[in-house]
Formats: sequence, C-alpha cells, structure tokens
Amino acid sequence: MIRVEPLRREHRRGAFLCSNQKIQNYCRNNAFRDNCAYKVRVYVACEGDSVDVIGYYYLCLTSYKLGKLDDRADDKFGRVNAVPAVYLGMIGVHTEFARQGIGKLLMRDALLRVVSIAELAGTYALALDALDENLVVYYRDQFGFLSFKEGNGLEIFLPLMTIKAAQTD
Amino acid sequence: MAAVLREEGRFPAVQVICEAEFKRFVALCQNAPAPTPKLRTLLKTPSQAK
Repeated sequence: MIRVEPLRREHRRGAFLCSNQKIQNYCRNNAFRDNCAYKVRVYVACEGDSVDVIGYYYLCLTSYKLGKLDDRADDKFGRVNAVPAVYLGMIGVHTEFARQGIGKLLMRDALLRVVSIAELAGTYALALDALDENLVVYYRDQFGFLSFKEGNGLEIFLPLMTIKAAQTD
Repeated sequence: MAAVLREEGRFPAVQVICEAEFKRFVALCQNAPAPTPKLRTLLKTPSQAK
C-alpha cells in the first residue's frame, strides 16, 4: 500500500534514486529546506509503514502574464492583469518503483490538492514544465494538459474547471 | 444588476452591456476543455498503486 503525505523531518530522502539527476538531488538536498521555508510544499510517497521516500512532488503558487496561457485565462483575469496558477514541480519516482502507478498516484494527489487550494483562494490552472517533448505528449494524452499559448513547448497547464469537471461529471 | 436596471427602465445601453458581459462570463466558465476519460478515471477511482 502506497500513501502520499506532506513531507516531514522523519522521512528518509537520502537514498532517493531517480533517473533524472535534478529531481534526485532536489529531493535529497533541497526539498526539506524549501518546505520548511514555505517556498514550496512537498508531498512524498511512501510504502506501508516505511518513511523511505519512493516518490515526491511539490506545489507552489505562481502567476502568469496575460497572453501566456490561453484566451480563456485572459478573459477571466484581464481585470487583475495576471493569471493565478498552482505550479507542480519535480514530480519523480524512485527508480526501483518505476512503472507501478506511483507517478499517477502522485498526480492524482496533486490534482486533488489543487482543487482544495482553489476552494480557498481561487486559481486558474495547474501548471508544470515537462522535462521533454515525450512527457508533454504523455501529460496531454493521459490527463488533457494543454500547451501554453506563448511558451517554450514544454510549459503546459490543466485548467481547474477541467479538473473539477472530471470529479463531478 | 441588469435586471434592476431593466425594471426601473434606466440606462438601457448599460443594461445590454451588462447582460452581454454576464453571458460571456458564464460561457467562459462553462467552456473549459472536457476532461479526458483517463483523467476522469484517475480522479473518480480510489487511490491505489502496486
């Protein structure tokens, strides 16, 4: 049984292995510090009663200039001149636990937390930077992520109303 | 607001603008892309892995 929960001091991050060095190093060296500073909020996956981290991601708040995401965002937030979003960073799974559904479990957890954030403070979308083109296609086909209107091709987002519709339809 | 203005017979031009704006806003809110079947499945099934 895998559980996803907020990062705590007792979680063991030192042995986290990931095929992406940046994601691995962030977990080992920066995640706890940034979490304590409230720069981001980190959520980790653990197996059973273990506190060994086998996957993680973080969320933080962000905003984008008008014209960056899509026309719907510009129409909706034109009066405040910026589009609020929740940013998903560093989603990664331990190499020994790859292809077991943990990535999807982390994404599910993130989507539900975005809905909670939106209920409290409002937001337009969940945004992330995909590591490469293959992941852009994966996130688009699996979850319906959209490319930024003015982005580098790796910047993608999923509108909150789409997430809400998936929960309620 | 538009309804009040209409009842009182005041500012007909403003009334039209308000109604049009309101309809556009409603359309925008309802016009989010439909969720993919996989997203629906992911969010509607209990969390599980392994």
